[in-house]
Amino acid sequence: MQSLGFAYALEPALRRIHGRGPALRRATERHLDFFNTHPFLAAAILGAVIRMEQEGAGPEELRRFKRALMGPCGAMGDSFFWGAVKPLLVLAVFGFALTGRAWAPWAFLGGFVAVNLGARAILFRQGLRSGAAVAGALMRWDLLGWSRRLKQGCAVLLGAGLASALEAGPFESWGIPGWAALAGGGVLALGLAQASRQGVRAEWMVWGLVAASVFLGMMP
Amino acid sequence: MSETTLVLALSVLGGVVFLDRTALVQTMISRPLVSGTLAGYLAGAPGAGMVCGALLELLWLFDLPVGTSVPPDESTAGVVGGAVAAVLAGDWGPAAAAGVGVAAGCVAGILGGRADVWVRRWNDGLVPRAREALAAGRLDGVGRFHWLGVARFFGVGVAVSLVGVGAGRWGAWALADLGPGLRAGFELVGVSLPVVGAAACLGGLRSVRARGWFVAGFAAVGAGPRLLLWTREGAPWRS
Repeated sequence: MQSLGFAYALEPALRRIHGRGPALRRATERHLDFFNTHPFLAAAILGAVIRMEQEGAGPEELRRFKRALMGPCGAMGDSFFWGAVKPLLVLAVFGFALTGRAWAPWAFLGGFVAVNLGARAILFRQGLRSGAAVAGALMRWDLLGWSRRLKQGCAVLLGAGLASALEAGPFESWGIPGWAALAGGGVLALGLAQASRQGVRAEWMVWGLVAASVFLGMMP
Repeated sequence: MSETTLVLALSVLGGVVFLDRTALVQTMISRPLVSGTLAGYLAGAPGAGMVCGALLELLWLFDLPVGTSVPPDESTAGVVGGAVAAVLAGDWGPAAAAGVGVAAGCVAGILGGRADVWVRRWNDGLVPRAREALAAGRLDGVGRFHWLGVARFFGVGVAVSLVGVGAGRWGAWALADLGPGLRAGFELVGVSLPVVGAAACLGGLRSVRARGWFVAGFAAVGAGPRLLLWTREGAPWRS
Protein backbone atom coordinates (compact mmCIF):
# COMPACT_ATOMS: atom_id res chain seq x y z
CA MET A 1 0.00 0.00 0.00
CA GLN A 2 1.40 3.42 -0.92
CA SER A 3 0.80 6.99 0.18
CA LEU A 4 -2.12 7.91 -2.08
CA GLY A 5 -4.04 4.75 -1.19
CA PHE A 6 -3.17 5.16 2.49
CA ALA A 7 -4.44 8.77 2.54
CA TYR A 8 -7.60 7.75 0.68
CA ALA A 9 -8.27 4.93 3.18
CA LEU A 10 -7.77 7.38 6.07
CA GLU A 11 -10.07 10.07 4.69
CA PRO A 12 -13.36 8.99 6.32
CA ALA A 13 -11.68 8.77 9.75
CA LEU A 14 -9.89 12.09 9.30
CA ARG A 15 -13.17 13.77 8.30
CA ARG A 16 -14.76 12.50 11.49
CA ILE A 17 -11.81 13.63 13.66
CA HIS A 18 -11.02 17.01 12.05
CA GLY A 19 -14.32 17.95 10.35
CA ARG A 20 -14.05 19.70 6.96
CA GLY A 21 -11.89 22.69 6.07
CA PRO A 22 -8.22 23.59 6.77
CA ALA A 23 -7.72 21.02 9.58
CA LEU A 24 -8.84 18.19 7.30
CA ARG A 25 -6.70 19.49 4.46
CA ARG A 26 -3.59 19.63 6.70
CA ALA A 27 -4.29 16.18 8.14
CA THR A 28 -4.74 14.63 4.67
CA GLU A 29 -1.65 16.38 3.29
CA ARG A 30 0.65 14.98 5.97
CA HIS A 31 -0.33 11.45 4.91
CA LEU A 32 0.78 12.03 1.31
CA ASP A 33 4.43 11.70 2.37
CA PHE A 34 6.28 8.69 0.94
CA PHE A 35 4.77 5.46 2.32
CA ASN A 36 5.11 1.90 1.06
CA THR A 37 4.34 -1.26 3.01
CA HIS A 38 2.57 -4.60 2.84
CA PRO A 39 -1.18 -4.09 2.15
CA PHE A 40 -2.36 -6.40 4.96
CA LEU A 41 -0.01 -5.05 7.63
CA ALA A 42 -0.87 -1.52 6.47
CA ALA A 43 -4.18 -2.14 8.26
CA ALA A 44 -2.33 -2.18 11.59
CA ILE A 45 -0.61 1.11 10.77
CA LEU A 46 -3.93 2.59 9.56
CA GLY A 47 -5.62 1.69 12.84
CA ALA A 48 -2.72 3.01 14.89
CA VAL A 49 -2.60 6.30 12.92
CA ILE A 50 -6.34 6.83 13.42
CA ARG A 51 -5.86 6.32 17.18
CA MET A 52 -2.90 8.72 17.21
CA GLU A 53 -4.84 11.35 15.19
CA GLN A 54 -7.70 11.06 17.71
CA GLU A 55 -5.22 11.59 20.56
CA GLY A 56 -3.85 14.69 18.82
CA ALA A 57 -0.40 13.40 17.85
CA GLY A 58 1.71 15.98 16.02
CA PRO A 59 2.74 15.72 12.35
CA GLU A 60 6.37 14.90 13.17
CA GLU A 61 5.39 12.11 15.58
CA LEU A 62 3.05 10.60 12.96
CA ARG A 63 5.72 10.86 10.26
CA ARG A 64 8.34 9.13 12.45
CA PHE A 65 5.90 6.41 13.46
CA LYS A 66 4.95 5.57 9.85
CA ARG A 67 8.57 5.68 8.68
CA ALA A 68 9.67 3.42 11.53
CA LEU A 69 7.01 0.79 10.86
CA MET A 70 6.62 0.66 7.09
CA GLY A 71 9.90 -1.17 6.43
CA PRO A 72 9.53 -3.91 9.08
CA CYS A 73 5.82 -4.37 8.25
CA GLY A 74 6.74 -4.71 4.59
CA ALA A 75 9.35 -7.35 5.37
CA MET A 76 7.09 -9.29 7.77
CA GLY A 77 4.11 -9.15 5.43
CA ASP A 78 6.09 -10.19 2.35
CA SER A 79 7.70 -13.08 4.21
CA PHE A 80 4.55 -14.35 5.94
CA PHE A 81 1.67 -13.70 3.55
CA TRP A 82 3.39 -13.77 0.13
CA GLY A 83 6.29 -16.05 1.03
CA ALA A 84 4.51 -18.63 3.18
CA VAL A 85 0.69 -18.49 3.44
CA LYS A 86 -0.03 -17.96 -0.27
CA PRO A 87 2.38 -20.74 -1.45
CA LEU A 88 1.07 -23.10 1.24
CA LEU A 89 -2.52 -22.68 0.02
CA VAL A 90 -1.46 -23.02 -3.64
CA LEU A 91 0.56 -26.18 -2.98
CA ALA A 92 -2.25 -27.69 -0.89
CA VAL A 93 -4.49 -27.77 -3.99
CA PHE A 94 -1.84 -28.08 -6.72
CA GLY A 95 -2.01 -31.87 -7.12
CA PHE A 96 -5.80 -31.77 -7.21
CA ALA A 97 -5.84 -29.03 -9.85
CA LEU A 98 -3.41 -30.95 -12.02
CA THR A 99 -5.63 -34.03 -11.92
CA GLY A 100 -8.72 -32.07 -12.95
CA ARG A 101 -10.59 -31.43 -9.67
CA ALA A 102 -12.71 -28.41 -10.58
CA TRP A 103 -13.04 -27.26 -6.94
CA ALA A 104 -9.27 -26.74 -6.52
CA PRO A 105 -8.98 -23.06 -7.63
CA TRP A 106 -12.06 -22.07 -5.58
CA ALA A 107 -10.79 -23.87 -2.49
CA PHE A 108 -7.55 -21.88 -2.80
CA LEU A 109 -9.43 -18.61 -3.38
CA GLY A 110 -11.83 -19.20 -0.47
CA GLY A 111 -8.94 -20.01 1.84
CA PHE A 112 -6.96 -16.95 0.87
CA VAL A 113 -9.93 -14.55 1.02
CA ALA A 114 -10.61 -15.81 4.57
CA VAL A 115 -6.96 -15.11 5.49
CA ASN A 116 -7.02 -11.74 3.68
CA LEU A 117 -10.14 -10.35 5.30
CA GLY A 118 -9.46 -11.92 8.69
CA ALA A 119 -5.90 -10.59 8.83
CA ARG A 120 -6.90 -7.07 7.81
CA ALA A 121 -9.76 -6.95 10.34
CA ILE A 122 -7.61 -8.27 13.20
CA LEU A 123 -4.66 -6.04 12.36
CA PHE A 124 -6.80 -2.91 11.97
CA ARG A 125 -8.46 -3.58 15.32
CA GLN A 126 -5.07 -4.18 16.96
CA GLY A 127 -3.79 -0.89 15.58
CA LEU A 128 -6.86 1.02 16.82
CA ARG A 129 -6.52 -0.55 20.25
CA SER A 130 -2.73 -0.18 20.66
CA GLY A 131 -2.01 3.10 18.85
CA ALA A 132 1.75 3.75 18.73
CA ALA A 133 2.38 0.54 20.75
CA VAL A 134 1.14 -1.65 17.87
CA ALA A 135 4.75 -2.47 16.95
CA GLY A 136 5.14 -4.47 20.18
CA ALA A 137 1.97 -6.44 19.42
CA LEU A 138 3.20 -7.26 15.91
CA MET A 139 6.57 -8.47 17.24
CA ARG A 140 4.82 -10.79 19.73
CA TRP A 141 2.99 -12.47 16.86
CA ASP A 142 6.37 -13.68 15.53
CA LEU A 143 5.29 -13.60 11.87
CA LEU A 144 8.83 -14.27 10.67
CA GLY A 145 9.08 -17.39 12.84
CA TRP A 146 5.74 -18.65 11.56
CA SER A 147 6.85 -17.89 8.03
CA ARG A 148 9.85 -20.25 8.46
CA ARG A 149 7.64 -23.01 9.85
CA LEU A 150 5.04 -22.68 7.12
CA LYS A 151 7.75 -22.79 4.45
CA GLN A 152 8.76 -26.23 5.72
CA GLY A 153 5.15 -27.26 5.17
CA CYS A 154 5.39 -25.80 1.67
CA ALA A 155 8.42 -27.98 0.92
CA VAL A 156 6.57 -31.14 2.06
CA LEU A 157 3.50 -30.27 -0.03
CA LEU A 158 5.76 -29.47 -3.01
CA GLY A 159 7.38 -32.91 -2.83
CA ALA A 160 4.00 -34.61 -2.44
CA GLY A 161 2.52 -32.58 -5.31
CA LEU A 162 5.39 -33.41 -7.66
CA ALA A 163 5.17 -37.12 -6.81
CA SER A 164 1.41 -37.19 -7.47
CA ALA A 165 1.89 -35.27 -10.76
CA LEU A 166 4.53 -37.79 -11.92
CA GLU A 167 2.35 -40.72 -10.81
CA ALA A 168 -0.48 -39.36 -12.97
CA GLY A 169 1.78 -38.94 -16.03
CA PRO A 170 1.61 -41.12 -19.18
CA PHE A 171 5.09 -42.61 -18.63
CA GLU A 172 3.96 -46.25 -18.49
CA SER A 173 2.33 -45.84 -21.92
CA TRP A 174 5.68 -44.51 -23.21
CA GLY A 175 7.44 -47.65 -21.94
CA ILE A 176 8.97 -45.94 -18.89
CA PRO A 177 8.25 -47.75 -15.57
CA GLY A 178 6.43 -45.54 -13.08
CA TRP A 179 9.12 -45.91 -10.42
CA ALA A 180 11.79 -44.80 -12.92
CA ALA A 181 9.79 -41.69 -13.87
CA LEU A 182 9.39 -40.87 -10.17
CA ALA A 183 13.05 -41.34 -9.38
CA GLY A 184 14.22 -39.44 -12.46
CA GLY A 185 11.76 -36.61 -11.89
CA GLY A 186 12.78 -36.22 -8.25
CA VAL A 187 16.50 -36.18 -9.00
CA LEU A 188 16.01 -33.76 -11.91
CA ALA A 189 13.97 -31.40 -9.73
CA LEU A 190 16.72 -31.33 -7.09
CA GLY A 191 19.36 -30.73 -9.76
CA LEU A 192 17.44 -27.93 -11.49
CA ALA A 193 16.74 -26.37 -8.09
CA GLN A 194 20.48 -25.96 -7.68
CA ALA A 195 20.58 -24.15 -11.04
CA SER A 196 17.69 -21.96 -9.90
CA ARG A 197 19.61 -21.02 -6.78
CA GLN A 198 22.52 -20.00 -9.00
CA GLY A 199 20.24 -17.54 -10.82
CA VAL A 200 18.77 -19.55 -13.71
CA ARG A 201 15.26 -18.11 -14.16
CA ALA A 202 12.19 -20.39 -14.36
CA GLU A 203 11.20 -18.88 -17.76
CA TRP A 204 14.58 -19.87 -19.22
CA MET A 205 14.12 -23.44 -17.96
CA VAL A 206 10.67 -23.53 -19.61
CA TRP A 207 11.96 -22.26 -22.94
CA GLY A 208 14.94 -24.64 -22.77
CA LEU A 209 12.49 -27.48 -22.10
CA VAL A 210 10.32 -26.34 -25.05
CA ALA A 211 13.31 -26.21 -27.41
CA ALA A 212 14.59 -29.66 -26.36
CA SER A 213 11.14 -31.29 -26.37
CA VAL A 214 10.09 -29.88 -29.74
CA PHE A 215 13.43 -31.04 -31.21
CA LEU A 216 12.89 -34.53 -29.79
CA GLY A 217 9.28 -34.57 -30.90
CA MET A 218 10.15 -33.60 -34.46
CA MET A 219 12.82 -36.30 -34.77
CA PRO A 220 11.73 -39.19 -36.99
CA MET B 1 -19.21 -16.04 -28.96
CA SER B 2 -17.10 -14.77 -31.85
CA GLU B 3 -13.32 -14.82 -31.57
CA THR B 4 -13.19 -10.99 -31.44
CA THR B 5 -15.69 -10.84 -28.59
CA LEU B 6 -13.83 -13.60 -26.80
CA VAL B 7 -10.48 -11.79 -27.10
CA LEU B 8 -12.06 -8.58 -25.80
CA ALA B 9 -13.69 -10.42 -22.89
CA LEU B 10 -10.36 -12.08 -22.04
CA SER B 11 -8.64 -8.69 -22.19
CA VAL B 12 -11.13 -7.24 -19.70
CA LEU B 13 -10.47 -10.24 -17.46
CA GLY B 14 -6.77 -9.48 -17.90
CA GLY B 15 -7.36 -5.90 -16.77
CA VAL B 16 -9.27 -7.04 -13.68
CA VAL B 17 -6.63 -9.54 -12.58
CA PHE B 18 -3.81 -7.03 -13.33
CA LEU B 19 -5.57 -4.69 -10.86
CA ASP B 20 -6.05 -7.41 -8.26
CA ARG B 21 -2.37 -8.37 -8.41
CA THR B 22 -1.13 -5.30 -6.52
CA ALA B 23 -3.23 -2.17 -7.08
CA LEU B 24 -6.60 -3.15 -5.60
CA VAL B 25 -7.90 -5.56 -2.96
CA GLN B 26 -5.57 -8.52 -3.73
CA THR B 27 -8.17 -11.24 -3.37
CA MET B 28 -5.82 -13.53 -5.38
CA ILE B 29 -8.13 -13.97 -8.38
CA SER B 30 -4.95 -12.74 -10.04
CA ARG B 31 -3.15 -16.01 -9.25
CA PRO B 32 -2.68 -18.10 -12.43
CA LEU B 33 -4.59 -21.01 -10.87
CA VAL B 34 -7.71 -18.83 -10.73
CA SER B 35 -7.09 -16.46 -13.68
CA GLY B 36 -6.13 -19.39 -15.93
CA THR B 37 -9.29 -21.28 -14.95
CA LEU B 38 -11.44 -18.19 -15.59
CA ALA B 39 -9.77 -17.62 -18.97
CA GLY B 40 -10.26 -21.27 -19.86
CA TYR B 41 -13.90 -21.04 -18.80
CA LEU B 42 -14.48 -18.01 -21.06
CA ALA B 43 -12.71 -19.80 -23.93
CA GLY B 44 -14.75 -23.00 -23.49
CA ALA B 45 -12.11 -25.21 -21.81
CA PRO B 46 -11.96 -24.55 -18.04
CA GLY B 47 -10.05 -27.76 -17.35
CA ALA B 48 -7.25 -26.81 -19.76
CA GLY B 49 -7.08 -23.34 -18.22
CA MET B 50 -6.91 -24.80 -14.72
CA VAL B 51 -4.09 -27.23 -15.56
CA CYS B 52 -2.12 -24.49 -17.35
CA GLY B 53 -2.70 -22.13 -14.43
CA ALA B 54 -1.59 -24.75 -11.90
CA LEU B 55 1.67 -25.28 -13.80
CA LEU B 56 2.28 -21.53 -14.13
CA GLU B 57 1.74 -21.15 -10.36
CA LEU B 58 4.90 -23.05 -9.54
CA LEU B 59 7.22 -21.03 -11.76
CA TRP B 60 7.21 -17.79 -9.74
CA LEU B 61 5.50 -18.88 -6.51
CA PHE B 62 8.37 -17.74 -4.29
CA ASP B 63 9.45 -14.77 -6.42
CA LEU B 64 9.05 -11.59 -4.39
CA PRO B 65 9.89 -8.08 -5.57
CA VAL B 66 13.20 -7.25 -3.90
CA GLY B 67 15.01 -4.02 -4.65
CA THR B 68 15.01 -3.37 -8.41
CA SER B 69 14.08 -6.96 -9.38
CA VAL B 70 10.53 -7.16 -10.72
CA PRO B 71 8.91 -10.61 -10.85
CA PRO B 72 7.02 -11.56 -14.02
CA ASP B 73 3.33 -10.76 -14.06
CA GLU B 74 1.75 -14.08 -13.20
CA SER B 75 -1.80 -12.72 -13.52
CA THR B 76 -1.49 -11.87 -17.23
CA ALA B 77 0.48 -15.10 -17.72
CA GLY B 78 -2.50 -17.05 -16.32
CA VAL B 79 -5.05 -15.33 -18.59
CA VAL B 80 -2.91 -15.69 -21.74
CA GLY B 81 -1.84 -19.25 -20.87
CA GLY B 82 -5.41 -20.37 -20.16
CA ALA B 83 -6.71 -18.71 -23.33
CA VAL B 84 -3.98 -20.34 -25.46
CA ALA B 85 -4.35 -23.80 -23.85
CA ALA B 86 -8.09 -23.70 -24.58
CA VAL B 87 -7.37 -23.43 -28.34
CA LEU B 88 -5.50 -26.75 -28.41
CA ALA B 89 -7.12 -28.73 -25.58
CA GLY B 90 -9.65 -30.52 -27.80
CA ASP B 91 -7.25 -31.74 -30.52
CA TRP B 92 -3.89 -31.94 -28.73
CA GLY B 93 -4.97 -33.18 -25.29
CA PRO B 94 -4.44 -31.53 -21.90
CA ALA B 95 -0.68 -32.06 -21.50
CA ALA B 96 0.33 -30.67 -24.90
CA ALA B 97 -2.16 -27.79 -24.61
CA ALA B 98 -0.78 -26.93 -21.17
CA GLY B 99 2.76 -27.03 -22.58
CA VAL B 100 1.90 -24.44 -25.24
CA GLY B 101 -0.12 -22.39 -22.73
CA VAL B 102 2.71 -22.20 -20.22
CA ALA B 103 5.24 -21.24 -22.90
CA ALA B 104 2.94 -18.43 -24.08
CA GLY B 105 2.20 -17.47 -20.48
CA CYS B 106 5.92 -17.05 -19.76
CA VAL B 107 6.23 -14.51 -22.58
CA ALA B 108 3.12 -12.68 -21.41
CA GLY B 109 4.40 -12.70 -17.83
CA ILE B 110 7.64 -10.95 -18.82
CA LEU B 111 5.75 -8.30 -20.84
CA GLY B 112 3.23 -7.81 -18.04
CA GLY B 113 6.04 -7.35 -15.50
CA ARG B 114 7.58 -4.57 -17.62
CA ALA B 115 4.16 -2.95 -18.03
CA ASP B 116 3.67 -3.06 -14.26
CA VAL B 117 6.91 -1.13 -13.70
CA TRP B 118 5.94 1.41 -16.39
CA VAL B 119 2.48 2.11 -14.95
CA ARG B 120 3.89 2.51 -11.40
CA ARG B 121 6.30 5.14 -12.72
CA TRP B 122 3.43 6.82 -14.56
CA ASN B 123 1.40 6.89 -11.32
CA ASP B 124 4.29 8.43 -9.35
CA GLY B 125 3.17 11.81 -10.70
CA LEU B 126 -0.24 11.53 -9.05
CA VAL B 127 0.88 12.33 -5.48
CA PRO B 128 2.17 15.86 -6.35
CA ARG B 129 -1.06 16.50 -8.26
CA ALA B 130 -3.10 15.37 -5.22
CA ARG B 131 -1.09 17.81 -3.04
CA GLU B 132 -1.76 20.66 -5.49
CA ALA B 133 -5.47 19.83 -5.47
CA LEU B 134 -5.53 19.90 -1.65
CA ALA B 135 -3.59 23.18 -1.57
CA ALA B 136 -6.18 24.65 -3.97
CA GLY B 137 -8.92 23.63 -1.51
CA ARG B 138 -10.23 20.63 -3.47
CA LEU B 139 -10.71 18.10 -0.68
CA ASP B 140 -11.79 15.37 -3.12
CA GLY B 141 -8.37 15.51 -4.81
CA VAL B 142 -6.96 12.46 -3.03
CA GLY B 143 -9.92 10.30 -4.02
CA ARG B 144 -9.92 11.47 -7.63
CA PHE B 145 -6.21 10.80 -8.18
CA HIS B 146 -6.35 7.49 -6.31
CA TRP B 147 -9.04 6.24 -8.70
CA LEU B 148 -7.16 7.69 -11.69
CA GLY B 149 -4.18 5.57 -10.68
CA VAL B 150 -6.45 2.51 -10.41
CA ALA B 151 -7.95 3.25 -13.84
CA ARG B 152 -4.46 3.46 -15.37
CA PHE B 153 -3.58 0.05 -13.95
CA PHE B 154 -6.78 -1.38 -15.41
CA GLY B 155 -6.17 0.17 -18.84
CA VAL B 156 -2.60 -1.09 -19.05
CA GLY B 157 -3.71 -4.56 -17.91
CA VAL B 158 -6.36 -4.66 -20.64
CA ALA B 159 -3.85 -3.53 -23.28
CA VAL B 160 -1.21 -6.12 -22.31
CA SER B 161 -3.79 -8.90 -22.21
CA LEU B 162 -5.23 -7.83 -25.57
CA VAL B 163 -1.81 -8.18 -27.18
CA GLY B 164 -0.96 -11.41 -25.33
CA VAL B 165 -4.28 -13.16 -25.89
CA GLY B 166 -4.57 -12.02 -29.51
CA ALA B 167 -1.04 -13.04 -30.49
CA GLY B 168 -1.11 -16.18 -28.34
CA ARG B 169 -4.35 -17.58 -29.74
CA TRP B 170 -3.30 -16.73 -33.30
CA GLY B 171 0.02 -18.55 -32.67
CA ALA B 172 -1.80 -21.56 -31.20
CA TRP B 173 -4.07 -21.84 -34.27
CA ALA B 174 -0.94 -21.74 -36.45
CA LEU B 175 0.81 -24.42 -34.34
CA ALA B 176 -2.21 -26.73 -34.57
CA ASP B 177 -1.63 -27.09 -38.32
CA LEU B 178 2.05 -27.96 -38.08
CA GLY B 179 1.82 -31.69 -37.51
CA PRO B 180 2.01 -34.45 -34.89
CA GLY B 181 5.73 -34.07 -34.17
CA LEU B 182 5.15 -30.67 -32.63
CA ARG B 183 2.25 -32.03 -30.62
CA ALA B 184 4.43 -34.84 -29.25
CA GLY B 185 7.10 -32.31 -28.30
CA PHE B 186 4.65 -30.12 -26.41
CA GLU B 187 3.13 -33.15 -24.72
CA LEU B 188 6.60 -33.86 -23.34
CA VAL B 189 6.78 -30.22 -22.22
CA GLY B 190 3.44 -30.46 -20.44
CA VAL B 191 4.35 -33.68 -18.66
CA SER B 192 7.78 -32.34 -17.61
CA LEU B 193 6.62 -28.92 -16.40
CA PRO B 194 5.83 -30.08 -12.83
CA VAL B 195 9.53 -30.97 -12.47
CA VAL B 196 10.62 -27.51 -13.69
CA GLY B 197 8.04 -25.83 -11.47
CA ALA B 198 9.11 -27.83 -8.42
CA ALA B 199 12.73 -26.91 -9.14
CA ALA B 200 11.84 -23.22 -9.37
CA CYS B 201 9.98 -23.45 -6.03
CA LEU B 202 12.83 -25.29 -4.32
CA GLY B 203 15.24 -22.67 -5.66
CA GLY B 204 13.05 -19.96 -4.17
CA LEU B 205 12.84 -21.69 -0.77
CA ARG B 206 16.60 -21.38 -0.50
CA SER B 207 17.37 -23.60 2.45
CA VAL B 208 18.98 -27.00 2.92
CA ARG B 209 16.16 -27.99 5.27
CA ALA B 210 13.63 -27.29 2.54
CA ARG B 211 15.30 -29.94 0.38
CA GLY B 212 14.97 -32.46 3.20
CA TRP B 213 11.28 -31.69 3.70
CA PHE B 214 10.74 -31.85 -0.08
CA VAL B 215 12.29 -35.33 -0.24
CA ALA B 216 10.16 -36.41 2.73
CA GLY B 217 6.94 -35.29 1.01
CA PHE B 218 8.04 -36.77 -2.31
CA ALA B 219 8.94 -40.11 -0.74
CA ALA B 220 5.72 -40.28 1.30
CA VAL B 221 3.52 -39.97 -1.79
CA GLY B 222 5.84 -41.52 -4.38
CA ALA B 223 7.57 -44.32 -2.57
CA GLY B 224 5.23 -45.02 0.35
CA PRO B 225 2.34 -46.68 -1.52
CA ARG B 226 4.78 -48.39 -3.87
CA LEU B 227 6.82 -49.92 -1.01
CA LEU B 228 3.60 -51.11 0.59
CA LEU B 229 2.59 -52.80 -2.66
CA TRP B 230 6.02 -54.40 -3.12
CA THR B 231 5.96 -55.68 0.45
CA ARG B 232 2.67 -57.42 -0.25
CA GLU B 233 3.25 -58.57 -3.83
CA GLY B 234 7.01 -58.60 -4.19
CA ALA B 235 9.18 -56.11 -6.02
CA PRO B 236 8.69 -56.10 -9.83
CA TRP B 237 12.32 -57.12 -10.54
CA ARG B 238 11.82 -60.35 -8.58
CA SER B 239 8.94 -61.66 -10.75
